[in-house]
Amino acid sequence: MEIKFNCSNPACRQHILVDKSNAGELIRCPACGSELKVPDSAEIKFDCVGCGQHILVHVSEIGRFIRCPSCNQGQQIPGSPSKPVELAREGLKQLLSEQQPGLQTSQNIFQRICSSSYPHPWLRLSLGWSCGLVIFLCVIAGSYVKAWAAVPKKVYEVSREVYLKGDIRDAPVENSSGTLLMYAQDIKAGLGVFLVDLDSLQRFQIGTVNGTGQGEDRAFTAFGWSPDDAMLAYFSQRDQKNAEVVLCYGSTGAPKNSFDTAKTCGPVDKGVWVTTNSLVLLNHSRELYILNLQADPNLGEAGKQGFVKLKTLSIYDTSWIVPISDRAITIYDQGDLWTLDIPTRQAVRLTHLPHGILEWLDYSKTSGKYLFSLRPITQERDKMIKGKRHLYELDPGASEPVLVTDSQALNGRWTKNDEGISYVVSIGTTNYLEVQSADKNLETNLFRETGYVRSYNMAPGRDKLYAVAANDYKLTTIWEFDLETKKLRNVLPAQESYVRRKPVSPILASVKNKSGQKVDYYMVPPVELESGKRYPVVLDQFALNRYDENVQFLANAGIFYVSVHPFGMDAYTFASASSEETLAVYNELLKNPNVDPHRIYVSGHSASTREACQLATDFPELWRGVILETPVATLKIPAARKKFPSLFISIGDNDSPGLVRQANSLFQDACRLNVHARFNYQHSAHTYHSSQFRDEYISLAKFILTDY
Amino acid sequence: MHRSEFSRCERVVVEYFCCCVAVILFVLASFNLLGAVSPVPALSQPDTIFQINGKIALHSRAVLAMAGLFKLGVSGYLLVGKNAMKKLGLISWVTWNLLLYQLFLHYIAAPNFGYSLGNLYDWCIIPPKTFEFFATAFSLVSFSMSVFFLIRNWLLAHKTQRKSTQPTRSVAGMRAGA
Repeated sequence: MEIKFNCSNPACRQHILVDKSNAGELIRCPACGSELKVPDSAEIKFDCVGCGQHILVHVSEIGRFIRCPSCNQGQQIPGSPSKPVELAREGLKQLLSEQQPGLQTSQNIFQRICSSSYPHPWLRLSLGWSCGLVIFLCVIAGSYVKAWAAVPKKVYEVSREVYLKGDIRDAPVENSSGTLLMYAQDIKAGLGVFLVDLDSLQRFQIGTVNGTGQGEDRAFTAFGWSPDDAMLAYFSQRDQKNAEVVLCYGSTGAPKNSFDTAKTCGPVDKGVWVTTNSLVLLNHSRELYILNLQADPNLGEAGKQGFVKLKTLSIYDTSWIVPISDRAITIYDQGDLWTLDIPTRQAVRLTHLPHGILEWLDYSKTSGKYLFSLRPITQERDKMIKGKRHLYELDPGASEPVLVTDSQALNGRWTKNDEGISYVVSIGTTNYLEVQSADKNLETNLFRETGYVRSYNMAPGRDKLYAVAANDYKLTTIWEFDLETKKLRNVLPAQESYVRRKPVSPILASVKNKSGQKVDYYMVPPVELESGKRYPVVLDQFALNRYDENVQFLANAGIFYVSVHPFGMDAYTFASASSEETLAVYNELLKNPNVDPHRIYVSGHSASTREACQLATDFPELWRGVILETPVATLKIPAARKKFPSLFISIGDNDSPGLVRQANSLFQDACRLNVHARFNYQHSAHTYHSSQFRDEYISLAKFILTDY
Repeated sequence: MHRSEFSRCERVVVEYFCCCVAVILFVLASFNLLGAVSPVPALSQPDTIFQINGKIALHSRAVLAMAGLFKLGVSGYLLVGKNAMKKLGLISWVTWNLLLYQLFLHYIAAPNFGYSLGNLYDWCIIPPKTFEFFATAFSLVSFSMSVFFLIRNWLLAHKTQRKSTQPTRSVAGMRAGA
């Protein structure tokens, strides 16, 4: 039999249970430590308030309402019930403050903990939220540390060194006297226009094209120096509404004048100096204009000051213009070459070229001959097949152009006195610059095997050539090659010493696809490759130029880069590798012991994102992720999927609104279906500057190295 | 509803349960608020649910921030409030709405950025699947437990009421004295 009673301390009222054998004894309350006397009996006796009936109940029933069994009168059992928990705690605290320390036995403390003592509500709020904050911070910090640990520590320093110079756009232009060189290069603020003093190799910036608007890749076009070197001109498009032809002093590059083209001829695609006073310009809509700085009576109606429209060309052709005299130019229109007399605006057909695309045009004023690259096009079952590009020579007196090279060649230029030609040879995944001459001693080739050519230009004197190229596996720079002395020098020597960045030599290889065709590919392994260690791979579907800064950065971050497509100057084809070719390279990669087969990312840039999306849709099980840089295509993530590759999407905020919407929608789909995705947003148009590439590739490296 | 009929031990369990829910809600609210300040432009798109014909629209960022603040408020009340029954009712209501919202998002094929923190920051590597799993498990467990406690309390209250109306049965050891 047990006796139940409450602590007599009004601040405590602890419910206590003791054995009947302890009846009448003195004990201490386990909660507050007060001395208590155990009741003599486990029963309470009282009289009914209605009829006086003597009632006996158990002591634990104190405070309850009952009905008298005799008169059925409702009444409460006398005595104080156990106090509510909160009040008991307040009493306990008060008691503890008054209590002697000796009374706080370990048993008491244990009892208090077990009896869930509650602090003040605001203290509870602080405690609860602090606890939540600690958990939140632990999760965030854990995630951050894990991401930080996965990325090599030197990534930021490497990126600063790799992207230090900025990408060089288009080919540089030299003045007639051979003292200055103009080129455009990515800078933080956009695109910088620079002049280089070719004696001292000092460079200085003469302008900035802050092109973040639409068509930024067309935001700059160099027209070069006027024939007397007095003036220098280039086209600059800031945005859709602000475009101008900028005229500078030829010797210093200081701005002299500018001509707003937004309301006249529109964005300019090509431009050449015809005389010291006139420039012929071809705009994006294929309209031919002449810009006369002063009125020129020799040009008749076309000699008025300012912009004068000459002709509208066929929109299906590529844009090529060469000046052949003070009054005439040669243009490419309706698939043929034409000579246009500016004063009369009469065009005379020069050739009957085979069906194809003209990819370069050069003219020698000495011999009157033309040199051009032509890519034949054939039609097969509603499919347009582009053939190999070859170099042709055309004598206007002859009826047919003459084939100059058997190999794939483009960008042909006459050398001094028409003694030879220079051109870019494209073989598989490589290209190089070849110089042919009547004098065999002057023949050479440049950037072969250990480099590549992105673009080049011939000096006005045709004695030197300036190439944007990489040599000995180093980063792209401007090279000057003297055709007579065969001396090659770097016009933009690196002022900075590379501490962190280590150049990685590419591996050129080939594999046969299922159809037995040879597929060339290009691989850059991670820096300091450890045998036995497996690395992630970016399998690129590049259609246009390969930006070697990005590739070198990935290699320095510990990621394989593999490109299944030729690179270099192949800027006209827009033809990325087919799925079959990519899969052949993929299978070859699996044989590499350093390649992690579970971390192969298929990548696409702009037009080649179509292929990347197709590969991800058709073979999602092959890829750990899909990398879409400035995507023009999207993919559909199937709702009923077990696993889908992670997504990395990078796009400029000034890209085409439709493309931005499409990319956003893809990211939202990924979030909806719980696919790991990363959205990298750059303040740019479709083409990125070096600094934007840097941000993007740091994010990409983190994405790949921390992919869960 | 407002009066707790739990035993002392049960009261302690309920209090601890409410505190745990409050702490987890605080963590979830913090994740939501962190997600709301992410620079990802997809968050600036109109939310799929909070719009009427595309005219009155809240951006996903605003919805995320509001959800965070709401959870923070509920968490605060669960820690400060004294009435266990009110707290249990609030937990069951909130978690039920969270589950319903998630189901609705799935139904209309809309993204839930609340679970996509790993997609919103470079340094955050919490997979959306893991986040969703834990958040759903939390909602389900909290909802089930709160409903369980509420039902149990109702049953206890019903039992006590019956006791008070039938004294001979409620006071088991009572007998008439001499």
